[in-house]
Amino acid sequence: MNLLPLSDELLPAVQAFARENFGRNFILEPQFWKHWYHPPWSDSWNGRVLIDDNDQVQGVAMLVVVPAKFGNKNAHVAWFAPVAVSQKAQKVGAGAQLFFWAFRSLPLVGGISTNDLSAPISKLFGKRIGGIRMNRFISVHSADAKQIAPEASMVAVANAAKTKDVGPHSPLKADWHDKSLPDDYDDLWRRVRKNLDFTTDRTRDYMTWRYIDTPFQDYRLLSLRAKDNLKGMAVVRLQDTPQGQICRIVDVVAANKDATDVWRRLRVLLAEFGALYTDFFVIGNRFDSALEEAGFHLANEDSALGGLPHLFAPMEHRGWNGDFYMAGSLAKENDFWRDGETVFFSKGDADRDWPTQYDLDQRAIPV
Amino acid sequence: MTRDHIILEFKTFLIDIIGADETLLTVDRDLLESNILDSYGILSMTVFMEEKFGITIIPEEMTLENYRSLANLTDLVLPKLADKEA
Repeated sequence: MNLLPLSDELLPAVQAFARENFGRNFILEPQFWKHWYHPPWSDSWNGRVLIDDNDQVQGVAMLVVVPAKFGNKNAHVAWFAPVAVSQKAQKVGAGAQLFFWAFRSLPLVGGISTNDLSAPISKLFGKRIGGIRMNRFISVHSADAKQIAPEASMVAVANAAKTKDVGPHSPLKADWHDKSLPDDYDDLWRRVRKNLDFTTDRTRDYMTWRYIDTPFQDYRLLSLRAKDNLKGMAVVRLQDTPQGQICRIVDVVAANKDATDVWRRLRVLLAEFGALYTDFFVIGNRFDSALEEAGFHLANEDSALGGLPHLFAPMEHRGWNGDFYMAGSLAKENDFWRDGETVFFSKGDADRDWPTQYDLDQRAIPV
Repeated sequence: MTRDHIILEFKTFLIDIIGADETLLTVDRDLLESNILDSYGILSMTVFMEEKFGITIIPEEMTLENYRSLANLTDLVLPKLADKEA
């Protein structure tokens, strides 16, 4: 088996392999691949291909590579998205080459909520960050959310819906931005960035690429201001379902000192929109107390509230374990970043918020 | 460290960590075709070699041929140990 970089020449064979091995929801549209696997900051395709002696594709590791802040360095973090190996190659352990290449050749390689197959491998090479996992927080806005909760969760959902008064109202003013970021966004990000050790570098260019230009997914951006001062930006996805509207806060940029006001305003605003509930997935603890003060509840899979569906299109609840691993040469050489207060990743990072087959069906996108 | 010593270390690892059947671990048995090493096993073996022998395996060396048998694995490690001791 030979391991080759993904190239224009290999792309058709790799896409044919993806059609068979990446699962029925995987999107093969050229603009989707170009966007995610050949972003503006990459000179070439971000992927590696395992080729057998007959020039047949036997495995593929696709990587979403995004700019990151790592200590004082500007770096890139690569997220597996996804890795697949043919049964023939699996039998002789060829998939190891794909993982080993990534772990040893790249500076930062991440895995979120890894599955039963890849989790042991991530654990072997990556550093599991003590106490840091992908947590889910939920604010239930209406007792009607019970309709889509499993029976075991209904009481918890009803109780959470009673959480109305969560302290003083936020003084922040909210405005929607659909196609651009406000002019003063860069200053906000600079202020937030300086207190983080490890995070996706949420520059204007990155945010535009991720949330405005991303194909097949509609995000709405929300600015939160105190008078003229930008205190927070949130990226929101509102999803209509047969049971009602659900809201996901995909990303939030806010300084720690403003976080409680930002989260309180978000919660009230999204409740006013009529959403049954709002959730937010996050790695890192910096927003934990602000979320709780704003009326959000920790709702991981083992909790009653965690029974509320976390896939919205269509409504579905698949298992997830929230594990977070980071490997690669920079991660291995440094320990400073393993601090829950200064690491920050959200559902918008990696491939955690990609469109589903349902989303494509709504747009009549062929697959 | 002798060739026999290295093979013994490999066998101990395969039995204790991978759960291999000791009776199958002949020096030339194909570890891949025998399903003794899968992808996770190869990666575990790599970490084991690096930690146990204080060597570094580079991605280009992770070929199926190098991991196919105890003999081949030993051939991979021995020159690295020699370089280390030189």
